[in-house]
Amino acid sequence: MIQRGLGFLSLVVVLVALYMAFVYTPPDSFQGDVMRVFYFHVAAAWNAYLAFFVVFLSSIAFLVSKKELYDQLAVSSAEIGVLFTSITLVMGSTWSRAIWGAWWVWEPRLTTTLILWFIYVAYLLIRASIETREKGARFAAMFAIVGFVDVPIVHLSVSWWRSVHPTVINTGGTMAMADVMLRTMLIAVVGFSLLYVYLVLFRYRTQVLTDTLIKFKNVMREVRL
Amino acid sequence: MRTAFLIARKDLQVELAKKSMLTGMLIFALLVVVVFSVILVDGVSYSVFAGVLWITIYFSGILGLNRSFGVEKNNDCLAGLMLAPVERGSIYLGKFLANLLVLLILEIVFVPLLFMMVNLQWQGHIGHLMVLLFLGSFGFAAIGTFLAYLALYTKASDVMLPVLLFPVLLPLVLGSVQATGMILEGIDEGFHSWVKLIVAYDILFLVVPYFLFDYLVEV
Amino acid sequence: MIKGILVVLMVLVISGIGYAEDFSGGGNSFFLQLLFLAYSLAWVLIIFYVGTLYNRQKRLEDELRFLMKQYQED
Repeated sequence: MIQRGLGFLSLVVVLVALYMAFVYTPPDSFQGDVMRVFYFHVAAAWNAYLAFFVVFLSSIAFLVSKKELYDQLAVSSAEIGVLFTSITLVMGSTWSRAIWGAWWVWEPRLTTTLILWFIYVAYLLIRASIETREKGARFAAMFAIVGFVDVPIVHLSVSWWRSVHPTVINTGGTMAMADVMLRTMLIAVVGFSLLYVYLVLFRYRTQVLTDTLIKFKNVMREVRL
Repeated sequence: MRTAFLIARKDLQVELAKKSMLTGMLIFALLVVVVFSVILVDGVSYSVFAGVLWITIYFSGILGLNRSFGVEKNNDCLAGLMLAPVERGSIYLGKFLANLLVLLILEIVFVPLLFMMVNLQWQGHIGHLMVLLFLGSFGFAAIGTFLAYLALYTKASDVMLPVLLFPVLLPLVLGSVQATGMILEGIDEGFHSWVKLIVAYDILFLVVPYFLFDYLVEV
Repeated sequence: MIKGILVVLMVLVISGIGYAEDFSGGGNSFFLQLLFLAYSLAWVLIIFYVGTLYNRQKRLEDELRFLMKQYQED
């Protein structure tokens, strides 16, 4: 019931944000209409980082408390995180084609996001390829902690690396924004955050079902024996 | 600490007695250099040389990492090791030390050969290069030993290790390649911040796995 | 239904990429195409994901129900 409501609410807010992004805001004086990518791009990136922060916290909680709930939360959030990281990359890439003239540019924030994507795909792979459910959960949690600790260092190193070859790319996130645009962006962020919570709950339910099914099968096997 | 040294000594003794892995790693490293030399016939720049140097070390290092816990898994030695009444962290430290030493032995033979094969004129100080080789291998062995253990229980562990390792390793790869390029070219500016980054990486990824290792085995 | 939406969106996306690559002169109509491409790709990803998840949940529920029934019969 709460989940339904949340889904509906996020849909409404996202639709409002879409309206604002496409109709309410004027085109950017410098970038023109392609600026409108930016609102949801930022919202998706926010979700990606939020998701991975949740994975990090729940992985620690799982290792300390060993409650299955935290692991189920971690895997749900990781999958949604990969989804939103992909969206961030795809939207960033099209924007980059318009403004920088290339589909991909080795800019620090882009590169960090790409590495983030790789780390969490590896996280999902390690879970999927360990046979024992419990061991997979524990190992994945450890990898999530190591991976999350790594992200700031990745960002630092990539920034230094690019600063060796100075590029013209400083316009991305540091540009001054008009109030209208800022408001639109905030609504988009709120909408996507609600969508994130909804999707995590949705994915969480799948995980609970899967785990119940496994347990149930084990019980039945024992009963038959 | 003593346990760590004992494990490292045991691993090294086994390895030096058989030498199968070290020889394999060295031959592989030289082959990679031959392949690169064939591709880069027109001579190499400093940054490309630094890249070839480190990529070769890291790729051969992965071969060693796959073996380091793999040999213990045969005959269930690993289970015995993990159940032994010692702190698990020191098992990690022991394995880390052994891997680091194997890597350093490899480099002592491989790096001079690489310089001879490629014939590069370079400016920097040889002491700097040696320190850098040590620091780069240190970080690689630290995080690599940990992830090799995680990968061990996956279905295709040989494939999983690079997939897990390289995204996490990126700052170290960047740092060591950049800093090595600077040494070769004789640039001082910015060199120290890269070294600081590598040292920070080394410490962080020795300490975090050390603490996490306690959570690895629970029966 | 979801499959239909996805097919339509994918066609739009592919034509968007083709157009963007043809039209390299710049200008606002080119920007509009890219804008369109970005949003459709984003929604393709979300809808595709939700669709897969929905199917998976349904399958799991069916399986669980089936097992329950079998369990009671046993």
